[in-house]
Amino acid sequence: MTQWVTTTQLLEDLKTTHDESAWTEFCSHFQPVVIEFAKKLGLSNVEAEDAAQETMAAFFKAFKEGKYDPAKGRLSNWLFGIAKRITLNLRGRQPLEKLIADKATGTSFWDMVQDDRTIGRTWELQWQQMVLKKCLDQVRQEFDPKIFGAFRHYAIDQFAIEEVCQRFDMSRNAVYIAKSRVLSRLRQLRQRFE
Amino acid sequence: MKCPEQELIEHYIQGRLEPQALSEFEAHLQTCKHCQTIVAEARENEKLLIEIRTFEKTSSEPRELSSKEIYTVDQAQKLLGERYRVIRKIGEGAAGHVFQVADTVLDRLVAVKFLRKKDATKDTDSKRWHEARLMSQLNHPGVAQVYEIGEIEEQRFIVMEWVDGLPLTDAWKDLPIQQRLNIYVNVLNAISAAHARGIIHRDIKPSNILVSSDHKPKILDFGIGLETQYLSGVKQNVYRGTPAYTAPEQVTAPIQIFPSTDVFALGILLYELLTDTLPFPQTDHKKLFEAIKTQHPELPSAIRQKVPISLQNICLKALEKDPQNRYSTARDLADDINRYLRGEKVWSRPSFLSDKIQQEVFYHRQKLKVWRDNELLTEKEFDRLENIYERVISPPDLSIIEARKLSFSQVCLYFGGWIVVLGSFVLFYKTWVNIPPFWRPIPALLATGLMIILGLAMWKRNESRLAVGFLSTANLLVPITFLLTLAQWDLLSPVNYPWGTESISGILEQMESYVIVGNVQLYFSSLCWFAFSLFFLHLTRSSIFVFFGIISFLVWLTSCYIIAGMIGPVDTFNPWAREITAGRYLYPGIGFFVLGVILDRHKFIHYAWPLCMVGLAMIVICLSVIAISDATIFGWLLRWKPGFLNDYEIQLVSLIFNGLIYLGLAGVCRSLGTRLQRTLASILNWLGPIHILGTLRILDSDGLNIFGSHKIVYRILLPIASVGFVFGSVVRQMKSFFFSGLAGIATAVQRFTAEYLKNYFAWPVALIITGIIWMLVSWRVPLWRANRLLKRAK
Repeated sequence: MTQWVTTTQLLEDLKTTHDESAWTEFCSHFQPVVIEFAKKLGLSNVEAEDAAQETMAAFFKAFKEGKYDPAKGRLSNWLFGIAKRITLNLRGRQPLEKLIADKATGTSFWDMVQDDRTIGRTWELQWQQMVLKKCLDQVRQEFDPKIFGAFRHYAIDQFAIEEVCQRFDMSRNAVYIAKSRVLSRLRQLRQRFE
Repeated sequence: MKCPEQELIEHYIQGRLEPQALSEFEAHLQTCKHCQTIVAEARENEKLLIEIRTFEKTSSEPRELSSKEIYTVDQAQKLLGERYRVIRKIGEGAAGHVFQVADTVLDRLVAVKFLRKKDATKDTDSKRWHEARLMSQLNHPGVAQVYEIGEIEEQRFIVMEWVDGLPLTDAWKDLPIQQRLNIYVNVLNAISAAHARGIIHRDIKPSNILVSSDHKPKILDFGIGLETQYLSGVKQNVYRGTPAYTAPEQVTAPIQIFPSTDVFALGILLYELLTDTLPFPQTDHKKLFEAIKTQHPELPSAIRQKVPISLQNICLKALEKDPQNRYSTARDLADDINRYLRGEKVWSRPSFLSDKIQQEVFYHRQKLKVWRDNELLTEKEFDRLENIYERVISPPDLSIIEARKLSFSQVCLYFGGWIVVLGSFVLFYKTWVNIPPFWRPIPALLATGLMIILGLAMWKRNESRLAVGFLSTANLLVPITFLLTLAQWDLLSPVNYPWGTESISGILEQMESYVIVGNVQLYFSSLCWFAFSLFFLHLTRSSIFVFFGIISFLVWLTSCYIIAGMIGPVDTFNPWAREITAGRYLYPGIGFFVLGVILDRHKFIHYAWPLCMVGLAMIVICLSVIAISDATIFGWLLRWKPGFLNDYEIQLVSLIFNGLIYLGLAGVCRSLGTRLQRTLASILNWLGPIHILGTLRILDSDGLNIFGSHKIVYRILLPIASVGFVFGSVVRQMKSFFFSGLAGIATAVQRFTAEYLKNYFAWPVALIITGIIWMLVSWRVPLWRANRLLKRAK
């Protein structure tokens, strides 16, 4: 399980340490977001990975040159700018018939991504999902498994309250408190991450 | 009031507090800062929770949130109201989200699909309910039924039959090929029904075909289905479908969609059926589409050894790159699969195989020509090989091959047909006094009508083998039924027409029949027969109808001759009688022959050869009849000096003339140069010498009262002609000349021995010595010649 870090910390590490580990750590966080984003824009798995690598490299170069100033905007927005440019560039080189998206449902790429606003939303969704996943992983580590389990069953999976009480041997109030605590912590973590 | 427990806050946030408790809580909230903070946090938490739930539910297929769409069970339940109880979400398709729902009124499970919103306001009703309309139009047991459509709060939904089953490839995972095929044929039937109504599914894949536990498949998801009448409206650059089941034309700009686009996907399913793998296994889309457009899949039999070649051919034909080469609809594909299941031969060949064969054969044929020119092959061997190659690259029409093949089912078909014909014939020639005349031809009429209808129906369904069977039976029934009907209903009867002399009544009388048939009736019946033969020939292009056509034409011609009084009256009707001028059939025979030659030159060899054969047979028969009848065309040539030749001599000399005609005709055929003509030439090359040498031998026999001096001439001509043929064979390697010449020499030797030399021992000795000398000469002469040439060269 990866250690909990914030974007600020990741960037700080990148600036101060000069070995590969900081870079690897940085990539492990953001590369998957770019891959998913690129796939949503119609690239194949392999191409999406290429796009992600290219994005990371471009970001790294800009970062080393000191072009990125955290005060001016979120890391997410900066990465989005690079990822969008690279992905659309890659996509533009493809023949028309490749511009499809969803293998399982057969949904056309054009149905989904039509304009800049939608592309932005797609990125934001990927980003949020990554952040949420990290936060959930973190709270799972922090909380007692019983508390987290009750939260998961009641709040996310929407089991009936009686069932959750029975399974975890908790009072109704305790389950509600568990839900409230976990969610509060999640919000806290999310705020801190960016 | 003290600060409430978390449970109360939870209920408050979710709006589930009773009015009494609510007012109390709100009153407390206004005064308690602590609780205000908690509630504010709880609201924030709730927002976060909705995000988490959404991501969790769509974590494998993350989608953008849209307030317009129905994502969760709760949302669905809220919309659908009391009648429907939403059980669970079962998936998302191209066109919307699908839930399993219990219909509490009708007490059944249904699937409810909420449609995605796309310019709903712009669309007409028929467009908005596109999928539901397509599915309800189909009403096929293999397609999930639409029960209801509805719209609540601008959210459209379709209530459909709930199909409890597994996706196709999962369902047949552990089944043998035969059972898989049964399921597959049902899938084909459902898609055929769609194609028949002009609907193209466009997204056929295992997950859109659910198979119930009793192996009945149901087709789902016509979300991107198309009606052929709207094909022109397909956006030229929008890909829709599932990559692994995509046809080449779906990813080649400009995108074109045909029913055969579905056939390609069905071909992929068949490939999976046979091999359990995808024909194009590439996961990267770029490579996948490239493969679909340009590569041939690995042969199923290379993956699984036991794959039947017929099925492999069907599968590869369905996977043709060019839609034109594929089965045009699912029905055609189903027909071939059914043919395989019935144990019949499947003639479909994927085009790349025949392309390859064509290429190979082309090179082989080039080589054959070189071999022939270098005399590695004789002309005959060359012809034979060419014939085989011709058949390999352009096999005759399927119906012809299938109908010619005497399989058990085909023999049964013909046997049945023959029984029907015999039954109708018995109906025709017997007199049924107990039955009123009106009813007598009815069974035959019904049988003929049925055969024609069945034949045409089978032809329409591409069952060419059965079609040819039924149509040829019908073709035989037509003249019998016509004659029977005309005779029994007293139509066009001889009484009403002065030229309606009864011609075949005589033959019928000999068969103890009392049906009176007139020539006019025969005339019209044979004309109808001829017309039907031509129609069936035009329809099926099967050469059997060429034969029927020729025969019916000859019958019609005969009836014309009889009506015109050119062939003798009824009581002396005898086709071999001398009064019949065979010349009347000579010209049609020549006509057939010439027509055959013309067709042959235009590559219609299937029609040419029956015409040429029948034409040649008629020419030979007529010339022979002419020769032995009084009124021969050579008669007046040979009777220039009356009494010089007696009657028998005239006839026999005419036959020698015939032999010369055949040799001349053989030369003409050979010069025409096609394979058929060369075959005819070789037949004529046998007929010529046999006529000439055989007749010369007969002319020399005793008991014909031929002048002695004439006999000696013929006796001397026989060995001379024989030797001529033997050495004439050198020119064109004609074995017919060589062997008939040898036989002629043998009869001449026998004749000379019997006549003059039976007491001379020296005669056989002289023959032996002559033979030896000839052999020595033939051994040494070439050597002497060679030496002389060498010397001259030096």
